[in-house]
Amino acid sequence: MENEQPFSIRFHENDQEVALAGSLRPAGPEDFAPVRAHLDHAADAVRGVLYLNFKRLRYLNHTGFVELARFIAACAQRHPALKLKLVVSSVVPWAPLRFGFLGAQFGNTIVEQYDRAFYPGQGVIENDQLVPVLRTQTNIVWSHERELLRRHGLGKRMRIADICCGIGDFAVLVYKEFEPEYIVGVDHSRPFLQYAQQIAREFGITDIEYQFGDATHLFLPSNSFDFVTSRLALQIFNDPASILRELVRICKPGGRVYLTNEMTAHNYGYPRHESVTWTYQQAVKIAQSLGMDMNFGPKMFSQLTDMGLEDVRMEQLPITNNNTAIDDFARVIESWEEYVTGELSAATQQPPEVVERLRMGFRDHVYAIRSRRGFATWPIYVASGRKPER
Amino acid sequence: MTSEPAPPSPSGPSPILTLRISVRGLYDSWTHCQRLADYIARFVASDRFDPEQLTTRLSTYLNEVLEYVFRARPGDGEIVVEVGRTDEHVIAELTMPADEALAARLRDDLGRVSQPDARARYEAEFQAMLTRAPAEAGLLELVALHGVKLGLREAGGAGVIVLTVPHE
Repeated sequence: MENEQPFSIRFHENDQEVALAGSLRPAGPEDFAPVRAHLDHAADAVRGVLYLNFKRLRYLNHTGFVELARFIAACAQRHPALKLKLVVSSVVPWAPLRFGFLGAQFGNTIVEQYDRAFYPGQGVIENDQLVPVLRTQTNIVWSHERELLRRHGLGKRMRIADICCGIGDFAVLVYKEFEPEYIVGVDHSRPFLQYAQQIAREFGITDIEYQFGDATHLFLPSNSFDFVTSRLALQIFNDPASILRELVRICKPGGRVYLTNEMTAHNYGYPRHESVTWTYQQAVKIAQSLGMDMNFGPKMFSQLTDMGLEDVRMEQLPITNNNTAIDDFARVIESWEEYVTGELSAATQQPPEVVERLRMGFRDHVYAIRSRRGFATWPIYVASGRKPER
Repeated sequence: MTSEPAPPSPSGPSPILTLRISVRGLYDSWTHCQRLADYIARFVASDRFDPEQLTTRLSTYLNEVLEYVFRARPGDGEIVVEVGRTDEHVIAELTMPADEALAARLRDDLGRVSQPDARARYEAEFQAMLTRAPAEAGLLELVALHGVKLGLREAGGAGVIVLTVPHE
């Protein structure tokens, strides 16, 4: 995919940040001079910390690297009290190596690999132990989503981007059902992507491209996909709007952005519904204290509308224990129990009695799923909107 | 003469692409280095797992070698870029016309770059590079920081820079 971006540099005075993007490959100091002028101006204009944002800088040659080092050295002389914070992303494979080296060379420089901990619960969510759970979730959701996707504009031979694709199984299912012209899956978990690649290979599929990437700074060209999806993902990020902006950016005018997210507080299980309801409401609060919004689902309509999308459509997946494989449904809830009473409770230092009550609510949900007389739901909302032609 | 041979491969690399460009053509514009590097990298990475990551790495490394060649100013003739792949590596060979003076320079530069203590040398020399960076500084960085191997082969008035890049 053609994807080259021209070089750009912008100084955001309010944020004390210089953002560099694209390809910076100067022939020598003269070639670098305009960049140096920007950097010098920024260093003169700020106090305390100057952020140098390299998240979108895809290419930098050694000449440019040395010129940046010269700027840092000059800053130490001219502005001894000024700290330089270099913000880099592991999505650009050379960046942590080079800037880590610079950080060790200069006392005025701090290097922050921002995607090492850029959303809450990242360690657990990107862990390969979640793979069986994610597969089960997809099995449940796909049976309901398959037809619904058509109502939201997905058709055959489209260009599709699946952002936060996880283990890539949705991409595989879409590939088989809709025969896209091109489909790319992007995720920030290397174990998930390796699994995705392995599955694609085993199924003899060679036409799905998987990329390691950051959903808030995609290296995908603007206006290039007919259908852009992000499923069960925006709810775990503390800044979903920054992802949504990227989804809209890469979507073609006339194409559609398609999202799914949960309304966790409305998970329901009868007969022990009070216990179930308490647990999910508590789980939402705990997740919220870590920056996640597990009730994001119903908010998608306004989010898509606020992004300027047209023809916004929204509905709910009707997942209940009456229309879903009981064992699969129960396994998903058991995995939530493990996650919430383990990792999330530990991270937020929940007292043992709260953890125990949380655990009971999940078990009561499973009871409702498995009980002959029980009724259980898992509310997932689906929304899509069309990007205006101009 | 070989300063640092490319790692042996039992069956040799499977060829992927060969490009021929005139030295004069390359000199027309500095930006040809990056255009060529980007094109080759995208072509080579296209059928790999995570092609964008491999493209970014390959283009970064190839561009550095091409910029070195651009500055070395070989005499008239052709530059040939041949890229192949083994199970573990992408191997790019860049052949250029090299008279005696250029051959000696290549020997010196690639010889210094290919030493096992590249990282220590890069660290020790970095501050001095801020005043004046030697011609091979970019190549040294590839070996020191990025785990790339660089070697030199000489054959009949030509110098061949061999770049060996792990897939992952």
